[in-house]
Amino acid sequence: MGIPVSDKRDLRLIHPASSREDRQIIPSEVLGMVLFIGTEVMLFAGMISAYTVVRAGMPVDAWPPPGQPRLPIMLTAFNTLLLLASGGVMWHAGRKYAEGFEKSVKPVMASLALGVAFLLLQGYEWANLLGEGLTMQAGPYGSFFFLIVGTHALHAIIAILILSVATYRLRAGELSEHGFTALRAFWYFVVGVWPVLYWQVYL
Amino acid sequence: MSRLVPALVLLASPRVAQACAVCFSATESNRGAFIGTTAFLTLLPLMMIGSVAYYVYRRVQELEGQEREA
Repeated sequence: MGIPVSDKRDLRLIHPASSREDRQIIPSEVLGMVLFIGTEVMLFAGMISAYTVVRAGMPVDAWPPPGQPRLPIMLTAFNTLLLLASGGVMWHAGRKYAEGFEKSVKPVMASLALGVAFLLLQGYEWANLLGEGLTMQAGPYGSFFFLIVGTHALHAIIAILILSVATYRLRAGELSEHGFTALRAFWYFVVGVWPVLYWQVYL
Repeated sequence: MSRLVPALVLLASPRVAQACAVCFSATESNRGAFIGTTAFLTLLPLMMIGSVAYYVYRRVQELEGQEREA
């Protein structure tokens, strides 16, 4: 036995959404994403901590291990700039959304294009490193590199796929403001965690 | 007696009975890394939860201010 629609409307009149009990402090989509990002931060923090302990336990001249390929610092620095630019353009898209959802479509697509460029360049870098003999089985150096950077790449791929679908919905005017905010927050996480990984793993 | 025998075995084989599975290096930098990462992993969730709690507090203050003005 449900409450008739007319009665539900009456209940809403008695308890308007702006009342103290019903007001929304944080939109559900954003809160859910914040909690998810919190778990993701801990995942990367755990991996970085394990890497730091193992690296600190090695002799100074044994890291990176002699005979193993060196990571391309300059190329990845450029790639880092690409990803940071992508984050900046996404932030711009968020601001444009306030002027009308259709105005944010192009910046979101530009941000995604920069994200895809980041992934392609990283794929090129990985292919080179694998060709030079750096693999997961090559030792702790290779294991940590592919584990940490690979986990980030996986997040970037998933984020780009989700944002591609979101862009389609954004163009159709079907994406809610809070949903857009939550998705942007995830992209900011993917962008924001990368400089930390670059600093820890590459430098 | 039941406790003495395992204790003697452990004392006789300290290499096997390592206290910590990841204590593979006894260098000062390794010790510092353990302390640093332990502090990092302890404080990070507290900082994140604290940030969300502070944001909620500020948001409630803001909404109550709006309600008072209305």
